[in-house]
Amino acid sequence: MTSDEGRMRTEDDLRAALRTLEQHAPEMESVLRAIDQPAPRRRFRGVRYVGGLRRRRLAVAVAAVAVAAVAAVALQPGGGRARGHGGTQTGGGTRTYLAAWSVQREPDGMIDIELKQLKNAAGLQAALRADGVPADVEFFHQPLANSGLLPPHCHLPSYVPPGTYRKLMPQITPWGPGPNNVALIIDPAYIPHGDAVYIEAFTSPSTSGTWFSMDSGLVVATPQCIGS
Amino acid sequence: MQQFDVRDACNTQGAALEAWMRFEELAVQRLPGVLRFAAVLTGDRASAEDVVQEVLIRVHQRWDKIGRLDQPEVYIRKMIVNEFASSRRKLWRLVPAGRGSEVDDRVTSDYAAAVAERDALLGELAKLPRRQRAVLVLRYYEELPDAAIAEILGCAPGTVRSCASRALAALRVEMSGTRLPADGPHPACMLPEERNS
Repeated sequence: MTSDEGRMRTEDDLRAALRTLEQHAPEMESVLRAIDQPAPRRRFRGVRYVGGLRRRRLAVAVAAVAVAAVAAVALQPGGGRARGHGGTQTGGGTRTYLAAWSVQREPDGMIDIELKQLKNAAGLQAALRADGVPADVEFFHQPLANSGLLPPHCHLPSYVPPGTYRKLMPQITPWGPGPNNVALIIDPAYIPHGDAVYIEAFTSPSTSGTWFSMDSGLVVATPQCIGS
Repeated sequence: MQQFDVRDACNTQGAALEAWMRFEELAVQRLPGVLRFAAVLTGDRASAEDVVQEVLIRVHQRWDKIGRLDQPEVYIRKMIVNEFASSRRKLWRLVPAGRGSEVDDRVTSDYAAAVAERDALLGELAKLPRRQRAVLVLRYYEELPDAAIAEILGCAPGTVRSCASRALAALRVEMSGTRLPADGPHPACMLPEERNS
């Protein structure tokens, strides 16, 4: 909910919002390269041929970071803080507490995620995967001019059954100031087969300090998006 | 005889090189603006890249004709709008955080509210029929008059005004002028597949 919800928007509001989309302009180099190699591009119409190589390299890099992050988590048990609830480990459940974030599997199978600092996104992604939640996690240390748009390496599922999000993410605190935490509860049972969870968190300056914001949703669980 | 063949080949290569240089000149001078336009039109980088690549490949293949136009960049913009409008690719957009969920409304700030409001506006913009979205981008980003928009879209200026009015009403944007009732998109503002869905 926004404080000015219900206010009639103006044409200048629309102009300003459209301007923010300029940041998504493709690189000239990539589109010109496509002209040099039109044949393969057209043979694979519908697939971003030029960007493919770059995304594959990114996926490898992300996977490498994720492995390193898992090792770091394993080396630092209890290196973070305790959560206010679910402090005891349950049979079959796991918990990963770090100063930046925590992931806990509750007795009912729900995954409780809490963010405090936007650090080690790959580690959070690996921790979620270990708890049965295929995910892509992205942290941005800057305001996102147009949050809610997927990065190029992930795709929205072609169909999400109505009501899925309410069951999949029964509770979410999408933004808050620094001392408070941004939190999300996921029920892995409601992740559709072949899909994964996408979480992006970013910071925004405000008069009361730095705030956190988070978007979340379902994406197709491709290796490019969530690693292999 | 062999000499003539070589000369012909050189002439042909020279003409091709000249054409390519003219194409590159246009690309360097005009492409940044075209890329930004495509990004605003599609709303995300990957879709913009796809649209621009498809269009530029076609422009390059038909450069001998397009290069002779007075304003080839206008024609390229028209091709981009058509490619966007006819693209079968679904634009991606996540469900905004908090939809159907418990949102902690204790936390508000001017900045956060402004960002949320802008994101909400962009989210609603993405839901518009693609032709309506194109009209708004051409009118409020490119700042084109309705007559020019009509030429790009291949319709009457009245249709442009109607599409714009309905799109603005759907977005709850107050227009400086007479507004039409928000009773859904006019068929002229929609693509055939959007009318059937």
